[in-house]
Amino acid sequence: MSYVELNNIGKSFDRVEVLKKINLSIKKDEFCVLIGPSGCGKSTLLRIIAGLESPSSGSLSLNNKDVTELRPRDRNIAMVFQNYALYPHLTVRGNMEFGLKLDKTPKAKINDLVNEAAAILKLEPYLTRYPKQLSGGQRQRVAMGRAIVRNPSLFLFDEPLSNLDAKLRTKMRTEIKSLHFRLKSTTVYVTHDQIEAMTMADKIVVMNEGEIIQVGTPLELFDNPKNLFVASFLGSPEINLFEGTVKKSSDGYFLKLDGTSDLNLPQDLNFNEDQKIIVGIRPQSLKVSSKSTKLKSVVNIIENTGTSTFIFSTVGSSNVCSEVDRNLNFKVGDDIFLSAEPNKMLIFNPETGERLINEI
Amino acid sequence: MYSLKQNKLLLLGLCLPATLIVAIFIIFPIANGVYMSFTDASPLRPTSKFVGFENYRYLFADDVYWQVLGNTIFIIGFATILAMLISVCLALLLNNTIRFSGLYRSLIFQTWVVPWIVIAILWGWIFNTDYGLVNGTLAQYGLIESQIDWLFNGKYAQWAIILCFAWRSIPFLMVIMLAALQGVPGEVLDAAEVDGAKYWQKTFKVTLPLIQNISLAAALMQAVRMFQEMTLPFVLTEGGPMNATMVLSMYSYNLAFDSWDFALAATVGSLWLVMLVLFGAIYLKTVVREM
Repeated sequence: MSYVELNNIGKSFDRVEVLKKINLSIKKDEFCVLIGPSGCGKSTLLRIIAGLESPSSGSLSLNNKDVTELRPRDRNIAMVFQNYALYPHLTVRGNMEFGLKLDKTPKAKINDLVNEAAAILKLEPYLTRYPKQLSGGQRQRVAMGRAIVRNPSLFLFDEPLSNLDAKLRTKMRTEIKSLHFRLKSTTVYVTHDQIEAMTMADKIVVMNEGEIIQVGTPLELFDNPKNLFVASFLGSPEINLFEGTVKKSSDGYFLKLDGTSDLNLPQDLNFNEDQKIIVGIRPQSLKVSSKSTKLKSVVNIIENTGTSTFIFSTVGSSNVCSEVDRNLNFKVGDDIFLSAEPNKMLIFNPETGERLINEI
Repeated sequence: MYSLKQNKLLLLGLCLPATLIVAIFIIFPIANGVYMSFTDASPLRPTSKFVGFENYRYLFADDVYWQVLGNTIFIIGFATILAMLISVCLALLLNNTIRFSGLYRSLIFQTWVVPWIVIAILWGWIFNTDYGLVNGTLAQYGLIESQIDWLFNGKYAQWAIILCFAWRSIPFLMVIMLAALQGVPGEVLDAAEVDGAKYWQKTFKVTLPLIQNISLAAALMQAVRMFQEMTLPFVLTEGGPMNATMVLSMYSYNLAFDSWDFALAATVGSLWLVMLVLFGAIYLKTVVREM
């Protein structure tokens, strides 16, 4: 049963169409992440859900009620903004009780709700402070506190972690996720950070140029991207792409790359000879060895993050990345040989960028 | 690391031009004014002598001084309040995306570039007893039976001057407040809207508190500016009737150039300086909000 339902939502600013017929269903208690590059329309879509923008076409329903024409205050939603959007002239308590006071909630209840939220978010010591006296992470928590005290039917987050440093971002990511787990709230979360999307979402909606490209669980999108855009957008480091022409030899089909390298293709698929394709292989699936394969490369850079080691090398004119065992002793300049399991290869049409699933 | 502090001579040389300008054009005139208030300086005397607090004693005992001080506070106070109220409303109106807002903005600002003397003459015509716009309009709608002496009746003259002062101040205050309004983060207003605030709640609970400091500082600047201005009462009412519109600046001018009592004029100026400094300090300390 869908809780948030977007039907053919379109939005144009003057003559610029920023959203094109968006259809999306979000289930109750689901954590839905809208992800896409800057300018793809994800924030506009969130603002339409919030009621801060009205759609040029289409309708929006929330809990089976058409809310397209309703103002934000009549939608019972709460939103956390990118720059926190705290009221600078109010204390932390003042910020958290602002909406409740407007709703004319009884004072005793306001106190209870604010204290409860402050306890959940560990904000009790800061209730009398002003936003400027808080750190970025604390401000972020106040913004979340302001949202949860109102017990809304829908939480909206607009890139809430993008102003935090990397370490705090990881911490807040976990906090938001555990808060969602605890409050069981339906959430729409906008980000351009694929790690946030992968780690937090129940459902990811990948957007580009005002359109939804693919919807699915994080692993569905990671393993089965619909096209090159989704494949490249999700995953860090980015998926390796090998463009070339299909050739056939006595061993079966292989991909003829620039230069002298070749890549063996899955043999159980029906390719056309001389067909141009792009093969995508995630760094985690691109094996490196010193044993000879047809895909020869030279180590350019080795990145060791402690948990993973990445080898960046060149094949023909393209740079590729592979994740390797940290105990393998490769050095910059070493010759290496790459290979991948056929079932880990994603085949795309170079002209349309679409995945060639039917053909394989 | 090279530090400018090591080269004392260069440091002094670089500071000298600014120090000299401030010393000659600001500190010296103020100090000289304060000094003069302790003398009996007058162009009618060949020499002046030190008289201690005599001028202050005289002034404090003079009813006219207290009347003028009261007038000044009343006129400038109400003019500032009136100008602030109208400017906030205009700024809020123009901050919305209404049609031709840019045109209105520049039209309103035209008032700011018109010299005070022109404003005085303009309002002199508007309030003219026999053929002024105000009397004409009121008579046309039957609101008055006989012509009112707006500028020659103590009760009305003060309000006429207040209105003129406020009118002249509105463009400046409006521009400052419009700039302040445009500096209010859109996200904060969006947050208030999501929190359930209606337009007026957003305005009174978020927008106005956020521009409060800038507006109040602008109001202080404008009030100080009006304190210095004597063109309006000088041209419109000559301070009358019965000193009803006499303000400190004009009083000080009259003492210096009508009565040729430079010392007493300097005393008025010195008291005025102390008063404004104290007022400014207390005002900023008490009304400026921690944010």
